[in-house]
Amino acid sequence: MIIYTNEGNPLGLQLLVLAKFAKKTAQVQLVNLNDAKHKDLLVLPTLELDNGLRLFSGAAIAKYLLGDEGQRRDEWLEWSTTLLAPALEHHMAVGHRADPNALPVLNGLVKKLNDCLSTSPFLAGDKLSAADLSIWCLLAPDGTLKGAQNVDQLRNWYDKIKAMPEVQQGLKELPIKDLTFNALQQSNRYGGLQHVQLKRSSSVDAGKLLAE
Amino acid sequence: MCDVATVQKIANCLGVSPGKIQLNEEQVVTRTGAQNKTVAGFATILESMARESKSETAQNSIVTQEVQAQVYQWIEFAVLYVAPGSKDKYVSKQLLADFNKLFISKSYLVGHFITLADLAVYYAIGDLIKSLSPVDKENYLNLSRWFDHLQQRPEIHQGETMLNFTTIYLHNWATGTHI
Repeated sequence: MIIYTNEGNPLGLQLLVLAKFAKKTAQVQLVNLNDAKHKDLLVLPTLELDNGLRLFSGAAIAKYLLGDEGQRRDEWLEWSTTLLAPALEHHMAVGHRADPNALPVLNGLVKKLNDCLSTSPFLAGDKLSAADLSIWCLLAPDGTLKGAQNVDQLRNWYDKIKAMPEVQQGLKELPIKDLTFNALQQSNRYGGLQHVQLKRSSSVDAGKLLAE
Repeated sequence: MCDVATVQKIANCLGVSPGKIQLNEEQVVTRTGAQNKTVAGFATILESMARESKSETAQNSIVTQEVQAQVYQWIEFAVLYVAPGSKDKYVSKQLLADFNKLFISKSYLVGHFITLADLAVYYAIGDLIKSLSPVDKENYLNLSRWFDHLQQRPEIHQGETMLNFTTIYLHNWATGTHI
Protein backbone atom coordinates (compact mmCIF):
# COMPACT_ATOMS: atom_id res chain seq x y z
CA MET A 1 0.00 0.00 0.00
CA ILE A 2 1.06 3.60 -0.55
CA ILE A 3 0.17 6.54 1.72
CA TYR A 4 0.22 9.84 -0.17
CA THR A 5 0.44 12.66 2.33
CA ASN A 6 1.77 16.19 2.63
CA GLU A 7 4.61 17.14 4.93
CA GLY A 8 3.69 17.36 8.60
CA ASN A 9 0.10 16.17 8.23
CA PRO A 10 -0.98 14.42 11.48
CA LEU A 11 -3.51 12.40 9.48
CA GLY A 12 -0.66 10.89 7.47
CA LEU A 13 0.73 9.48 10.71
CA GLN A 14 -2.78 8.24 11.48
CA LEU A 15 -2.91 6.13 8.29
CA LEU A 16 0.59 4.80 8.88
CA VAL A 17 -0.21 3.73 12.46
CA LEU A 18 -3.51 2.14 11.38
CA ALA A 19 -1.66 0.19 8.68
CA LYS A 20 0.93 -1.02 11.22
CA PHE A 21 -1.81 -2.24 13.58
CA ALA A 22 -3.48 -4.00 10.65
CA LYS A 23 -0.10 -5.66 9.92
CA LYS A 24 0.04 -4.21 6.43
CA THR A 25 3.08 -2.71 4.81
CA ALA A 26 2.60 0.87 3.74
CA GLN A 27 5.09 3.10 2.08
CA VAL A 28 4.82 6.84 2.77
CA GLN A 29 5.16 9.26 -0.14
CA LEU A 30 5.30 12.96 0.67
CA VAL A 31 3.51 14.88 -2.08
CA ASN A 32 2.33 18.38 -2.85
CA LEU A 33 -1.17 18.91 -4.23
CA ASN A 34 0.06 21.78 -6.39
CA ASP A 35 2.28 19.35 -8.25
CA ALA A 36 0.66 18.58 -11.63
CA LYS A 37 1.52 14.91 -11.13
CA HIS A 38 -0.94 14.73 -8.25
CA LYS A 39 -3.83 16.68 -9.67
CA ASP A 40 -6.10 13.64 -9.32
CA LEU A 41 -5.67 13.48 -5.54
CA LEU A 42 -8.55 15.34 -3.87
CA VAL A 43 -7.66 15.04 -0.20
CA LEU A 44 -4.44 14.14 1.63
CA PRO A 45 -3.65 11.73 3.02
CA THR A 46 -4.88 9.22 0.46
CA LEU A 47 -4.23 5.51 0.83
CA GLU A 48 -3.65 3.49 -2.34
CA LEU A 49 -4.44 -0.19 -1.84
CA ASP A 50 -2.47 -2.89 -3.64
CA ASN A 51 -5.40 -3.31 -6.04
CA GLY A 52 -5.12 0.37 -7.00
CA LEU A 53 -8.21 1.57 -5.13
CA ARG A 54 -7.67 4.95 -3.47
CA LEU A 55 -9.33 5.96 -0.21
CA PHE A 56 -9.02 9.38 1.42
CA SER A 57 -11.05 9.17 4.62
CA GLY A 58 -9.16 8.10 7.77
CA ALA A 59 -12.37 6.74 9.30
CA ALA A 60 -13.24 4.74 6.19
CA ILE A 61 -9.69 3.39 6.04
CA ALA A 62 -9.76 2.44 9.75
CA LYS A 63 -12.97 0.50 9.25
CA TYR A 64 -11.61 -1.12 6.10
CA LEU A 65 -8.27 -2.16 7.62
CA LEU A 66 -9.39 -3.16 11.10
CA GLY A 67 -12.95 -4.37 10.47
CA ASP A 68 -15.90 -4.06 12.81
CA GLU A 69 -15.03 -2.92 16.34
CA GLY A 70 -18.48 -1.77 17.37
CA GLN A 71 -20.70 1.28 17.11
CA ARG A 72 -18.91 3.32 19.78
CA ARG A 73 -15.68 3.06 17.84
CA ASP A 74 -17.49 4.27 14.70
CA GLU A 75 -19.00 7.21 16.57
CA TRP A 76 -15.59 8.23 17.94
CA LEU A 77 -14.02 7.99 14.49
CA GLU A 78 -16.65 10.31 13.06
CA TRP A 79 -16.33 12.64 16.08
CA SER A 80 -12.59 12.87 15.59
CA THR A 81 -12.91 13.82 11.91
CA THR A 82 -15.86 16.19 12.08
CA LEU A 83 -15.39 17.85 15.50
CA LEU A 84 -11.89 17.39 16.88
CA ALA A 85 -9.82 17.88 13.71
CA PRO A 86 -11.62 21.10 12.61
CA ALA A 87 -11.41 22.56 16.15
CA LEU A 88 -7.67 21.81 16.32
CA GLU A 89 -7.06 23.33 12.91
CA HIS A 90 -9.07 26.47 13.77
CA HIS A 91 -7.23 26.85 17.08
CA MET A 92 -3.70 26.04 16.00
CA ALA A 93 -3.78 27.92 12.70
CA VAL A 94 -1.26 30.73 12.80
CA GLY A 95 -1.84 34.43 12.35
CA HIS A 96 -5.07 36.23 11.71
CA ARG A 97 -6.97 33.11 10.82
CA ALA A 98 -6.91 31.74 14.36
CA ASP A 99 -10.48 31.52 15.63
CA PRO A 100 -11.14 32.88 19.17
CA ASN A 101 -14.15 30.57 19.48
CA ALA A 102 -11.96 27.51 18.91
CA LEU A 103 -10.35 27.24 22.35
CA PRO A 104 -13.62 26.97 24.36
CA VAL A 105 -14.88 24.40 21.84
CA LEU A 106 -11.62 22.49 22.04
CA ASN A 107 -11.69 22.51 25.84
CA GLY A 108 -15.15 20.93 25.68
CA LEU A 109 -13.92 18.21 23.34
CA VAL A 110 -10.82 17.49 25.46
CA LYS A 111 -13.00 17.30 28.57
CA LYS A 112 -15.22 14.77 26.84
CA LEU A 113 -12.17 12.63 26.06
CA ASN A 114 -10.87 12.91 29.62
CA ASP A 115 -14.33 12.08 31.08
CA CYS A 116 -14.66 9.03 28.85
CA LEU A 117 -11.19 7.80 29.80
CA SER A 118 -12.04 8.19 33.49
CA THR A 119 -14.61 5.42 33.14
CA SER A 120 -12.92 3.07 30.68
CA PRO A 121 -9.30 2.37 29.74
CA PHE A 122 -9.89 3.02 26.04
CA LEU A 123 -12.34 5.24 24.18
CA ALA A 124 -14.61 2.48 22.93
CA GLY A 125 -14.37 0.30 26.06
CA ASP A 126 -11.88 -2.17 27.48
CA LYS A 127 -10.03 -2.78 24.26
CA LEU A 128 -7.80 -0.61 22.14
CA SER A 129 -9.55 0.34 18.89
CA ALA A 130 -8.93 2.41 15.78
CA ALA A 131 -10.66 5.30 17.60
CA ASP A 132 -7.82 5.52 20.14
CA LEU A 133 -5.19 5.49 17.40
CA SER A 134 -6.94 8.05 15.23
CA ILE A 135 -7.56 10.48 18.07
CA TRP A 136 -4.07 9.96 19.51
CA CYS A 137 -2.51 11.06 16.22
CA LEU A 138 -4.52 14.31 16.32
CA LEU A 139 -3.35 15.03 19.87
CA ALA A 140 0.24 14.07 19.08
CA PRO A 141 1.53 17.32 17.50
CA ASP A 142 3.70 19.20 19.92
CA GLY A 143 1.84 21.81 21.84
CA THR A 144 -1.67 20.37 21.74
CA LEU A 145 -1.68 19.08 25.33
CA LYS A 146 1.30 21.13 26.46
CA GLY A 147 0.45 23.02 29.64
CA ALA A 148 -3.04 21.50 29.82
CA GLN A 149 -4.48 20.94 33.30
CA ASN A 150 -7.08 18.53 34.75
CA VAL A 151 -6.54 16.01 31.99
CA ASP A 152 -4.74 13.28 33.95
CA GLN A 153 -6.69 10.37 32.50
CA LEU A 154 -6.14 11.71 29.00
CA ARG A 155 -2.39 12.03 29.66
CA ASN A 156 -2.14 8.46 31.00
CA TRP A 157 -3.95 7.18 27.94
CA TYR A 158 -1.75 9.36 25.71
CA ASP A 159 1.45 7.91 27.20
CA LYS A 160 0.10 4.35 27.01
CA ILE A 161 -0.70 4.66 23.29
CA LYS A 162 2.55 6.44 22.55
CA ALA A 163 4.54 3.55 24.05
CA MET A 164 2.95 0.95 21.76
CA PRO A 165 5.49 -0.55 19.33
CA GLU A 166 3.34 0.10 16.24
CA VAL A 167 3.04 3.77 17.21
CA GLN A 168 6.77 4.00 17.88
CA GLN A 169 7.50 2.49 14.46
CA GLY A 170 5.17 5.03 12.84
CA LEU A 171 6.87 7.89 14.68
CA LYS A 172 10.25 6.80 13.34
CA GLU A 173 9.03 7.58 9.82
CA LEU A 174 6.86 10.60 10.66
CA PRO A 175 8.23 12.18 13.85
CA ILE A 176 6.03 14.22 16.20
CA LYS A 177 8.24 17.28 15.88
CA ASP A 178 7.34 17.62 12.18
CA LEU A 179 3.56 17.47 12.66
CA THR A 180 1.55 20.69 12.36
CA PHE A 181 -2.08 21.65 11.96
CA ASN A 182 -1.14 24.11 9.27
CA ALA A 183 -0.40 21.01 7.20
CA LEU A 184 -4.14 20.27 7.26
CA GLN A 185 -4.73 23.52 5.39
CA GLN A 186 -2.52 22.28 2.58
CA SER A 187 -4.19 18.88 2.52
CA ASN A 188 -6.95 19.72 0.03
CA ARG A 189 -8.10 22.48 -2.35
CA TYR A 190 -11.14 23.34 -0.24
CA GLY A 191 -9.39 25.49 2.38
CA GLY A 192 -8.39 22.62 4.66
CA LEU A 193 -11.04 22.32 7.36
CA GLN A 194 -11.39 26.10 7.71
CA HIS A 195 -14.96 26.16 6.40
CA VAL A 196 -16.25 23.53 8.81
CA GLN A 197 -18.26 25.44 11.37
CA LEU A 198 -17.31 24.77 14.97
CA LYS A 199 -20.20 23.57 17.08
CA ARG A 200 -20.43 25.16 20.48
CA SER A 201 -21.64 22.62 23.02
CA SER A 202 -24.86 23.60 24.75
CA SER A 203 -23.81 22.03 28.06
CA VAL A 204 -22.01 24.03 30.75
CA ASP A 205 -18.62 25.57 30.12
CA ALA A 206 -15.84 22.98 30.26
CA GLY A 207 -13.57 25.48 32.00
CA LYS A 208 -9.89 25.94 31.29
CA LEU A 209 -8.04 22.77 30.32
CA LEU A 210 -5.72 23.54 27.45
CA ALA A 211 -3.11 26.26 27.75
CA GLU A 212 -4.09 29.55 26.10
CA MET B 1 -29.36 22.06 4.46
CA CYS B 2 -29.34 21.01 8.11
CA ASP B 3 -28.29 17.52 9.19
CA VAL B 4 -31.61 16.67 10.83
CA ALA B 5 -33.61 17.42 7.66
CA THR B 6 -31.11 15.55 5.47
CA VAL B 7 -31.16 12.43 7.65
CA GLN B 8 -34.96 12.48 7.48
CA LYS B 9 -34.89 12.77 3.68
CA ILE B 10 -32.38 9.96 3.34
CA ALA B 11 -34.47 7.75 5.66
CA ASN B 12 -37.40 8.37 3.28
CA CYS B 13 -35.22 7.44 0.28
CA LEU B 14 -34.24 4.19 1.95
CA GLY B 15 -37.76 3.43 3.14
CA VAL B 16 -36.71 3.07 6.78
CA SER B 17 -38.38 4.63 9.79
CA PRO B 18 -36.27 7.67 10.70
CA GLY B 19 -37.01 7.26 14.41
CA LYS B 20 -36.32 10.33 16.47
CA ILE B 21 -33.76 12.64 14.80
CA GLN B 22 -32.37 15.50 16.86
CA LEU B 23 -29.18 17.30 17.87
CA ASN B 24 -27.34 16.29 21.05
CA GLU B 25 -25.53 18.66 23.45
CA GLU B 26 -22.52 18.75 21.10
CA GLN B 27 -24.85 19.79 18.21
CA VAL B 28 -24.23 16.42 16.56
CA VAL B 29 -27.19 14.76 14.85
CA THR B 30 -28.49 11.63 16.63
CA ARG B 31 -31.07 9.02 15.76
CA THR B 32 -33.01 7.13 18.37
CA GLY B 33 -34.71 4.10 16.89
CA ALA B 34 -36.19 0.82 18.02
CA GLN B 35 -35.45 -0.26 21.63
CA ASN B 36 -34.34 3.30 22.40
CA LYS B 37 -30.99 2.65 20.77
CA THR B 38 -29.22 5.90 19.89
CA VAL B 39 -26.66 6.40 17.13
CA ALA B 40 -24.65 9.66 16.92
CA GLY B 41 -23.08 11.24 13.84
CA PHE B 42 -24.36 11.82 10.30
CA ALA B 43 -22.24 9.16 8.57
CA THR B 44 -22.68 6.58 11.33
CA ILE B 45 -26.47 7.08 11.21
CA LEU B 46 -26.51 6.65 7.42
CA GLU B 47 -24.57 3.40 7.79
CA SER B 48 -27.01 2.14 10.43
CA MET B 49 -29.97 2.92 8.16
CA ALA B 50 -28.32 1.16 5.23
CA ARG B 51 -28.12 -2.04 7.29
CA GLU B 52 -31.87 -1.86 8.06
CA SER B 53 -33.07 -0.98 4.59
CA LYS B 54 -34.12 -3.39 1.85
CA SER B 55 -33.88 -0.67 -0.80
CA GLU B 56 -31.67 -0.96 -3.86
CA THR B 57 -29.59 2.05 -2.79
CA ALA B 58 -28.91 0.58 0.66
CA GLN B 59 -28.04 -2.87 -0.68
CA ASN B 60 -25.69 -1.34 -3.25
CA SER B 61 -23.93 0.64 -0.50
CA ILE B 62 -22.87 -2.40 1.53
CA VAL B 63 -22.13 -4.89 -1.23
CA THR B 64 -18.37 -5.22 -0.48
CA GLN B 65 -15.87 -3.81 2.04
CA GLU B 66 -14.33 -1.69 -0.72
CA VAL B 67 -17.69 -0.20 -1.69
CA GLN B 68 -18.55 0.50 1.97
CA ALA B 69 -15.27 2.33 2.47
CA GLN B 70 -15.79 4.47 -0.63
CA VAL B 71 -19.40 5.24 0.30
CA TYR B 72 -18.27 6.35 3.76
CA GLN B 73 -15.55 8.60 2.40
CA TRP B 74 -18.00 10.44 0.13
CA ILE B 75 -20.47 10.92 2.98
CA GLU B 76 -17.61 12.40 5.01
CA PHE B 77 -16.57 14.52 2.01
CA ALA B 78 -20.13 15.88 1.79
CA VAL B 79 -20.04 16.81 5.50
CA LEU B 80 -16.52 18.29 5.63
CA TYR B 81 -16.18 20.01 2.27
CA VAL B 82 -19.36 20.14 0.16
CA ALA B 83 -21.86 21.55 2.66
CA PRO B 84 -19.47 24.05 4.36
CA GLY B 85 -17.48 24.91 1.21
CA SER B 86 -20.56 25.70 -0.87
CA LYS B 87 -20.85 29.02 0.95
CA ASP B 88 -17.41 30.13 -0.23
CA LYS B 89 -17.09 31.36 -3.81
CA TYR B 90 -13.61 29.98 -4.38
CA VAL B 91 -14.23 26.60 -2.78
CA SER B 92 -17.55 26.13 -4.60
CA LYS B 93 -15.81 26.58 -7.94
CA GLN B 94 -13.23 23.96 -6.98
CA LEU B 95 -15.94 21.54 -5.83
CA LEU B 96 -17.99 22.00 -8.99
CA ALA B 97 -14.92 21.51 -11.18
CA ASP B 98 -13.78 18.40 -9.25
CA PHE B 99 -17.20 16.72 -9.33
CA ASN B 100 -17.64 17.64 -12.97
CA LYS B 101 -14.34 15.93 -13.72
CA LEU B 102 -15.24 12.83 -11.71
CA PHE B 103 -18.48 12.43 -13.62
CA ILE B 104 -16.75 12.53 -17.02
CA SER B 105 -16.22 8.81 -16.79
CA LYS B 106 -18.89 7.64 -14.39
CA SER B 107 -22.58 7.96 -13.68
CA TYR B 108 -22.42 7.42 -9.92
CA LEU B 109 -19.81 8.22 -7.28
CA VAL B 110 -19.06 4.62 -6.31
CA GLY B 111 -19.09 1.69 -8.71
CA HIS B 112 -21.73 1.60 -11.43
CA PHE B 113 -24.77 1.94 -9.23
CA ILE B 114 -26.55 4.39 -6.97
CA THR B 115 -25.38 4.38 -3.34
CA LEU B 116 -25.70 6.49 -0.21
CA ALA B 117 -22.64 8.40 -1.43
CA ASP B 118 -24.75 9.90 -4.23
CA LEU B 119 -27.57 10.78 -1.84
CA ALA B 120 -25.28 12.47 0.70
CA VAL B 121 -23.52 14.57 -1.95
CA TYR B 122 -26.81 15.29 -3.78
CA TYR B 123 -28.43 16.84 -0.71
CA ALA B 124 -25.24 18.65 0.31
CA ILE B 125 -24.66 20.21 -3.12
CA GLY B 126 -28.34 20.96 -3.90
CA ASP B 127 -28.29 24.63 -2.86
CA LEU B 128 -25.12 25.28 -4.81
CA ILE B 129 -26.54 23.68 -7.98
CA LYS B 130 -29.74 25.68 -7.50
CA SER B 131 -27.70 28.90 -7.56
CA LEU B 132 -26.10 28.13 -10.93
CA SER B 133 -27.08 30.02 -14.07
CA PRO B 134 -27.95 28.03 -17.23
CA VAL B 135 -24.48 28.85 -18.58
CA ASP B 136 -22.84 27.54 -15.39
CA LYS B 137 -24.90 24.37 -15.56
CA GLU B 138 -23.62 23.89 -19.04
CA ASN B 139 -20.02 24.47 -17.97
CA TYR B 140 -20.47 21.67 -15.44
CA LEU B 141 -22.26 19.41 -17.89
CA ASN B 142 -21.28 16.06 -16.33
CA LEU B 143 -22.21 17.16 -12.83
CA SER B 144 -25.51 18.54 -14.17
CA ARG B 145 -26.25 15.23 -15.88
CA TRP B 146 -25.66 13.31 -12.64
CA PHE B 147 -27.77 15.73 -10.60
CA ASP B 148 -30.62 15.79 -13.11
CA HIS B 149 -30.60 12.00 -13.33
CA LEU B 150 -30.91 11.65 -9.55
CA GLN B 151 -33.61 14.31 -9.15
CA GLN B 152 -35.86 12.38 -11.55
CA ARG B 153 -36.29 9.68 -8.92
CA PRO B 154 -39.45 10.45 -6.89
CA GLU B 155 -37.89 9.04 -3.70
CA ILE B 156 -35.05 11.55 -4.08
CA HIS B 157 -36.82 14.80 -5.08
CA GLN B 158 -39.61 14.09 -2.57
CA GLY B 159 -42.00 16.63 -4.05
CA GLU B 160 -39.48 19.51 -4.20
CA THR B 161 -39.41 21.67 -7.33
CA MET B 162 -37.16 20.06 -9.92
CA LEU B 163 -34.24 22.12 -11.20
CA ASN B 164 -34.30 22.98 -14.86
CA PHE B 165 -31.46 21.63 -16.95
CA THR B 166 -33.22 21.77 -20.30
CA THR B 167 -31.06 24.48 -21.89
CA ILE B 168 -28.29 21.93 -21.84
CA TYR B 169 -30.21 19.78 -24.29
CA LEU B 170 -31.20 22.83 -26.30
CA HIS B 171 -27.54 23.70 -26.72
CA ASN B 172 -26.94 20.45 -28.56
CA TRP B 173 -28.98 21.47 -31.57
CA ALA B 174 -28.91 25.26 -31.35
CA THR B 175 -25.35 26.06 -30.40
CA GLY B 176 -25.22 29.32 -32.31
CA THR B 177 -28.29 30.82 -30.68
CA HIS B 178 -27.30 29.91 -27.16
CA ILE B 179 -25.92 32.36 -24.53
